[in-house]
Amino acid sequence: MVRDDRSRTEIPPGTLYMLILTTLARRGPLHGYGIAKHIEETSDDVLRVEEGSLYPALQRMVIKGWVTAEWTRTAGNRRARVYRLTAAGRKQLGLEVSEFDRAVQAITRVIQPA
Amino acid sequence: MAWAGETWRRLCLLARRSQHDEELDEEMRFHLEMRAEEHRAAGMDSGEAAYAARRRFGSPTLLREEARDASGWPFAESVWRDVRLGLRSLRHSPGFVAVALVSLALGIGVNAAVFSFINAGNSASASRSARAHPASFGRSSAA
Repeated sequence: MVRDDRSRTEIPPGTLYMLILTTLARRGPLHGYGIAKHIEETSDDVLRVEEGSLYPALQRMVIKGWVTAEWTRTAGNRRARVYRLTAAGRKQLGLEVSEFDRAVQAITRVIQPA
Repeated sequence: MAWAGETWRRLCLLARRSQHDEELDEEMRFHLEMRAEEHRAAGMDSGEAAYAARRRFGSPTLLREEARDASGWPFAESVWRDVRLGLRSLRHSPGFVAVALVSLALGIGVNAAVFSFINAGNSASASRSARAHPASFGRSSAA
């Protein structure tokens, strides 16, 4: 379950927002740990979310108005800050995904053998 | 519109900065506990699990700083800190402040006095020569 660090990949720059937004869109409101866990599990433990970039990214997203943050109690009755997708966040997700698709297609064309 | 909302949210965070920092700390603690629990479930003993979670987490200070920069105006805040540091250190050396103030006042005062003296002399002689000029012209033509 806990994989060797070498088999993990850093999240490509610029895609963290998209991954967080997707996670919140699929799973509904989640705390930071839940978001990291979901990204790791869904990617079969290939993608590794750095806490050092996850929380600052969440702060920026709150400020941009893509997500809202509120304190709730978890199933284990612990206080946790939970992030929820807003309408602006949903719109941003669409934008980021289409931009990402475009970039991936372009890169694929470049690296494909002629 | 989006810009106004962003500024408003930044101001709100700035207004409750200390509470905001505490919340971030609590959030990080929660994350570490959850991670340690996950390690325990995977069969580590609790000390080892907590250590592994901390190691994985990296530096909380760095994270705190980055989160702070993300949610405020880092440039304006650092300028404000510099100004306050400057004022504080000036308060500690009143003699230096007095010397600096007196030399600035003297310098500016003397400079202004000399300038207005020369300026007045110049414009007086200029207007004299302006008055003298047509006269001398007239004299020379009369001669």
